Amino acid sequence: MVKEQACGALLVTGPEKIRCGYGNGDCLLIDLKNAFFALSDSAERYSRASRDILERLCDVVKERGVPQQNDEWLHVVNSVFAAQKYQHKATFSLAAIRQTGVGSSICIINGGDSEVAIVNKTTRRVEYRTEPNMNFAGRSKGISGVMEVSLQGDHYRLVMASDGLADIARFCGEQVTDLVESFLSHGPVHEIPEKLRDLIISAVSQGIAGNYDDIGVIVIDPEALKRNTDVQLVMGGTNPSEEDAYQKDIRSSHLDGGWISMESLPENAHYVAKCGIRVR
Amino acid sequence: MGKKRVAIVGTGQTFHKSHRPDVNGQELINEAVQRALLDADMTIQDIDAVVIGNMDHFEGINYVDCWSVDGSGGVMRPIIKLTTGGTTGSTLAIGGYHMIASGMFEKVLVIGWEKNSESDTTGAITTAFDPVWDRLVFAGAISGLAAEAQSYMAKYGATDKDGARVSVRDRKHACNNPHAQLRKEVTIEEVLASPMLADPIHLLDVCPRTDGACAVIMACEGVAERIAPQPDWIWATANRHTYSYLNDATYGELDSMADASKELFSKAGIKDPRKELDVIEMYQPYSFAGIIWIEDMGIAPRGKGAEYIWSGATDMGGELPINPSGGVIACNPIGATGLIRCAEAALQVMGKAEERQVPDVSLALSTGFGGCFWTDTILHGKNKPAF
Repeated sequence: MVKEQACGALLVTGPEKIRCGYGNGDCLLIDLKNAFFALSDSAERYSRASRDILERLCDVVKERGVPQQNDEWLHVVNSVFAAQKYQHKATFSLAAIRQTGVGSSICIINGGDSEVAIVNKTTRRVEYRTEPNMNFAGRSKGISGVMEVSLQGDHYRLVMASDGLADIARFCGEQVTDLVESFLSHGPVHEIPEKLRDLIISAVSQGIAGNYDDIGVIVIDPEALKRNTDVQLVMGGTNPSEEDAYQKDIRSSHLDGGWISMESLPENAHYVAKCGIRVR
Repeated sequence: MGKKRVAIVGTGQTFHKSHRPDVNGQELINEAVQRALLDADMTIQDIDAVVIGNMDHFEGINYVDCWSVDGSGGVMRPIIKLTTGGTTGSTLAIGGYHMIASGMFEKVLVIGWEKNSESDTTGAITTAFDPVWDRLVFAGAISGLAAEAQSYMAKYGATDKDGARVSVRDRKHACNNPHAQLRKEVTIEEVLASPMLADPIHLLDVCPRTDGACAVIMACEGVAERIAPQPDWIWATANRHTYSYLNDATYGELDSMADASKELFSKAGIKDPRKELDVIEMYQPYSFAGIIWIEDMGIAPRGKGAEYIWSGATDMGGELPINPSGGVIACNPIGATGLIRCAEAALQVMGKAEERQVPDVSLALSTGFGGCFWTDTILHGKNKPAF
């Protein structure tokens, strides 16, 4: 989990994936300075596929600079899509935030069945949600559409999630939209991952959650982004050995259940890198 | 409209393995297709039509022709699906050949594939047999083959050591083929010591189960020469589906092979196949077939097949190398297997067989076998056929 007042993120590996020795196919990209976020979900057959596409996105953005216009983002995403192998199918969701003076403008590009939603924190209603489509990276050579959502005021929250979120909703007897409205739309954003984790633990202890998919969630309060943290984080999309390292090394270390501050990242770099978290 | 000359201009094979959990069926197909397109320096946009096949009852996928378009590149293109049992791969090649030879298409992509790890092969094969007359004594493929070997042994005095010699040959050849699933040399003693599956067939006498796909691109005369510097010209094809009931078979001989190869050689004007052929890629699912079926082809006299094998004539460097690729004993993605034989023969003619290349190949024969002892044959040549 990543703690940041403007952003909270959760990445959970499905228990069946752990039991069978697969990696985690969900991968998250968080760039707080440049205010763009991405999520990808690939199958356990090649769980690195999600990481490959997000790493490639990072490389292209680094090479060309952060796009300032929607069509520039689309061009970047399509170049990243075009290089994805057919065998390495993955979902792809991107949200790039620009401050507008009266609020925020969010550029959203979405392929596959992960989703991006915008929820009104005041009314607790989902006001925008992407629809699943068949434009999976690997299968499609590009995405034709980009959506721009203009937000006025500071009462909106951006939610990005893999289809694993549907399993948490299932534990609660709800649809994903209901869960976003009832659970993710209020409270400090950095506390949401822990709350979601507690929901899973509770469901497991009650015997409701026998198995669930990998779960990847990013929750962002756009107006709270200070852009003063020069860090880009890619986590997940692990191969089996990285997942194994996380299960064995991290969970038996002093880092289990705790937070790693940005300042202490260098001294913990070995642990972080070994389990598939890249900070750059 | 006269018959057109047809050539193979590109081939592609997947990484063949017993289990490919890293890809689904469509992705397996795509892997072979991309390699064939790369080999021919073509794109999927250059393809006029697709012929595709597998044993669709193995994986239990209905409408394979429809389901596979995502991987085959067949979207909005003419597609034909063919399934003829173990001969599927070679029938696909014959089908693609007919489509171009008819003059109706210029460039055809032929795809054979199988994901055996997701199938119940023996259960599916057994459904082909008559429930009253055949199923009680034949289960899967191996029982009929064992009956064939036993009959041959009884008739000509061959032994399981003779069969083992064929297995040793093919498994040695497979070590030169990067596409082969099993690349490990064995000795005759090891073959004979391996578990007995159906007397006289030991484990190391038979083919494995494989996940794999093969794609072949064919083109008509006038186009083929522009794509490939040395196309593999298809001189002739012939096939025979003989009987429905296994009990009707002439065990110890393969009638369909004898008839089909006779027709094939007649079409091409071949009088002495042993002297005129340079290499054979034979669909030989178990070792004894390597003895019996070369007699049906006329390569060796009746009862003398084993003697010919022991002479080393069919080894690499011999008079008539058979299965430089390692053959079916080393790799068997069933719906692709016959097409792999065709592709390997094409590679020999095109001079692209690398470590397994037989020198100076002018004429090559590839075969397919399956179902109720059916046979497909294809003759490949370096020069254009005379017709």
